[in-house]
Amino acid sequence: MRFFRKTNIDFIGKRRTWYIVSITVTVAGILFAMIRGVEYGIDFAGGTEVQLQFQKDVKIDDMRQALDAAAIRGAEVKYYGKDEAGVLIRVREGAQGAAAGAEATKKVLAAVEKGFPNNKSQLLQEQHIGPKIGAELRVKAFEAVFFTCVVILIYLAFRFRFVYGLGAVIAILHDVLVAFAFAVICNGFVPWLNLEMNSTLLAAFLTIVGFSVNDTVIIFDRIREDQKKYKGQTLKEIMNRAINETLPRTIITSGTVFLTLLVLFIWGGEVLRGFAFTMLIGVITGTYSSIFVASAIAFDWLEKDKNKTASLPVGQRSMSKRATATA
Amino acid sequence: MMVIHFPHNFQSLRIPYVKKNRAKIIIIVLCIVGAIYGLIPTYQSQTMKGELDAFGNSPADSLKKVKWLHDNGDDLKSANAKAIKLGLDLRGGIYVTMEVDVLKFIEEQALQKDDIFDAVLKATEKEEATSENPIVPMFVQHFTELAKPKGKSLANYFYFADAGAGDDKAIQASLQKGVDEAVDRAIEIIRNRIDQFGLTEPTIQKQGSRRIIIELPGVGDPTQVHQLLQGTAQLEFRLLKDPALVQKVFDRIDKHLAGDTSLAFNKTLDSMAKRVDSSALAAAKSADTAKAKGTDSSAKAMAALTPEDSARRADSIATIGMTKEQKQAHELKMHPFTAVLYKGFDQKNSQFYVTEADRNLIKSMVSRPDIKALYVDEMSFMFSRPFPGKTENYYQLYFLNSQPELTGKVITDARADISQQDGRPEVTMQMDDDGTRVWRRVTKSNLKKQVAIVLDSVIYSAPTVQGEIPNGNSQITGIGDITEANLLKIVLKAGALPAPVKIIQESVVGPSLGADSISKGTWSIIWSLLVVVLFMGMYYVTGGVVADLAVMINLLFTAAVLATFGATLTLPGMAGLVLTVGIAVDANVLIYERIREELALGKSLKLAMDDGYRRAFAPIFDGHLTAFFSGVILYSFGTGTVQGFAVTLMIGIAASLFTAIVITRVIFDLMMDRNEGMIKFG
Repeated sequence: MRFFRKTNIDFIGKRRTWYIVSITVTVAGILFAMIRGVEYGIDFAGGTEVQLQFQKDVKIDDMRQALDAAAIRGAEVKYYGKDEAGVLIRVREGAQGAAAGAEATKKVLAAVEKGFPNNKSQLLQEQHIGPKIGAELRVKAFEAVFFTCVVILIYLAFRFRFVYGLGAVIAILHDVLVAFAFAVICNGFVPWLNLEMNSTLLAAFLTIVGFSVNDTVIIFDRIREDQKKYKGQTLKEIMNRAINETLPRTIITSGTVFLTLLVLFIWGGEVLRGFAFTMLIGVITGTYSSIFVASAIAFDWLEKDKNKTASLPVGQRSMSKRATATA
Repeated sequence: MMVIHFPHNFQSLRIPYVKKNRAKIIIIVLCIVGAIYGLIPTYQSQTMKGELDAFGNSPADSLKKVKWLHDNGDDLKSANAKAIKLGLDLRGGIYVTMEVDVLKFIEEQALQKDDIFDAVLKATEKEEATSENPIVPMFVQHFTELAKPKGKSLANYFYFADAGAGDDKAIQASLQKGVDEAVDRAIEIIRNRIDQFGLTEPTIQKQGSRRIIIELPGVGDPTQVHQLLQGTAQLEFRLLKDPALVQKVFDRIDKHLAGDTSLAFNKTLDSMAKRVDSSALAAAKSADTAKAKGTDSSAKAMAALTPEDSARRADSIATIGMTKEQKQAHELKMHPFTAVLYKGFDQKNSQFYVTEADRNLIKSMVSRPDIKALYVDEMSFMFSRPFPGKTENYYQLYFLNSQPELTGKVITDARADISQQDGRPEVTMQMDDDGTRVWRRVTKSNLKKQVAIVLDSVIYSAPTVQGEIPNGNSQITGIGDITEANLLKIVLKAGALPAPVKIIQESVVGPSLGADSISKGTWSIIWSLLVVVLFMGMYYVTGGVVADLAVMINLLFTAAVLATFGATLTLPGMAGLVLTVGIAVDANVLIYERIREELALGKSLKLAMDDGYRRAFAPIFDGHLTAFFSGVILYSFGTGTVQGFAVTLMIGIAASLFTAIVITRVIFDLMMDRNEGMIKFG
């Protein structure tokens, strides 16, 4: 069985159109996030979260009233799970009426018991995160993405050339930003997806980093191989050839990973749903960015470099000789 | 589905592929056997847990459970230790991060406080809110900035006996020492309490310089845990009870229990007796029921009529002509309480040692209201810290006065030293004036008696009073080693110098949520695997099946490594497994696409495979390595569940290099030997 005949698509030639698409999506996502604000999960925001399973369905408004009666203000209440008997209550750190630390849970549970005397509830999950831990986790999340990029840049600079490393890192940032943008936007419209920024979503972003760079490296490897094989061809021809040659693999792999994630998304349950959704976006953008971001940026850079070197006097040219030797 | 026939006898093969691969085949087989071996405890632990869960909640069942635990407890424990550990998100439980409130500790240490001092504290508090740096240097720095210009030095606020001249450096060092000890004390207090709680596999870890991470699997009630973790520590000195009095209480309890008609309780004792000598007893018992019934009831009747000594006489009459086993069974019936107690009696030192299971049994006996009424006014039962035994922990049982002589609040200082006289470790403690007065009276009137040092109802030491102590300065000698001495010192300070702790992070996963996420997670992984397996088989034919086999072996390896290195499997960890499958499959897709390309160029199958494997290696290696890097970074920056994800990802990626490249190649080579036509890449 085989899905593809030999393809011969001019990917590099269309790169400018896709630059515009990429920039538009990324900028739109960031703007949206800035305007709407990012909804942090409890582990990043700090506060107390209580998840309860009632015997009978519960109205959100009734729950609010019960909390108000106990002078807990500004609590978020939403359904969690498949029916309206599962409720998630979240009291942010420093919210009015929220007791300090672990006391908050006790207060919430007491309020619930008082508000619903005839509807017994079971505590499914409770989380309390102090403000310090929340802040620490946010910082660590940024550090994690940053250091991953640095390590990958160094590795690829060694393994290929600096320009390729740079292309790959820009592609990574692109993917994380696009996935982030989608997560923020979709979270605004479909709360069911569980897309608050929490440590599980952070794991998804970092996995996207791994996936994206894997995809990119495979194309780069092929470019390097083809450069040795087809010495006479232009960089554009070689890059297009390498991308076309690896295209079946790209589609098959991305397709399989996409399918596994789809299964996780549909059947994986509440906790894995947000993770799987973000990863689905990440797989699409990771595949796309290997071609239209990583390879395209490396191409533009090398072309520009070539022109510049050509106009330089011979003595200075040797400095960037390595950069053009295989180009 | 195709079946791969491994040759039964290497000698019979004509073609050299097997020879070429012999070393590889041996390594692969060893790895697989090793992996299966590594997973046996996981399997055992699962089946045993199943057996344990099969017991219901009825009293009869709970007794069976006690017996089951008696018989299989050790096996279960060792299997659990080597099994794959499930994270709290999968098994349910409570995860708590506590922080020792160092600032509060410093504040409490200060002799006097004024506006300047408060300003320094406030500045430190502000910085501490966003910083993980050690607090004492932070405090000293703020002190230098704010208080120094106003002519203050640390000596204005603190006094430490060991700080010598009292310059700032010495005081800072003493303050730091105090803080470190406070953290150790907080950990010991928590460990002590959790140990009493009798939970399975609790973890208590120190993180950084002042954080404590506590994981309590299977506990669902946070309020209970808050009390356990945050209550003030109680340190007491209690006199040990006179042995003669203790014996009276024993007799009273025995008599009460022997006459107890509640069969449930006797059943427990039966099962205990069985453990004493199961096979011999079974035979003895059947004979016993026929013969001893009469004597038993008559003895009982006598016991009811006459006081204790005649009951004893009745006993000795009743046991005439019995075998050893029968005597044992009889003893158990007549003295249900002491029979359990004396199992661990150390004749030489007249001390009682019991196992953890027996400790729980004794605890449950003596806390029964009807039994409690028999002794509560006179004495109390308490256990020591655990002593590690060969297979399980032992606890020493003590009988104490029900009222403490002194509480730990009177202790002003405690130190662990090496004695200058005999070079053995000793602990010295100093008391305040009130304490000294009481202590003098207590030691004077209780010469050669033992005083127990009790923290939260657990006995840490029970030294004997060697003489009257008039000045409140006491030495405790005869301590095993300096670690033990240090522990005692930490405990002695618990009464007067509390270690203020606060909960800064807590997460509770109810067991039902845990079960729910396990089943959902497991099933989605099985489905996603199935999707991949089917697709690969359809798309790459035999190649696909071989890749599927490699993926299965990869999962086997990953699970085995998780079990062997005691890593924890969390729900994100399961997602990591799915991703691993994706990456492992990708390696084979790369190879097969490459082979297809080479075949399209008109190369022979053998040559195409050689070239395909060779040329696909570089991109596979680069891809795996970079993904591995992101796993490493994820591990070092992530916490808890995210680390679980990173661990499975890293193990899976490492295994994938072996399974996807080496194992598939060997399988193809073996297939070449038998029938080249079998190999198809679609």
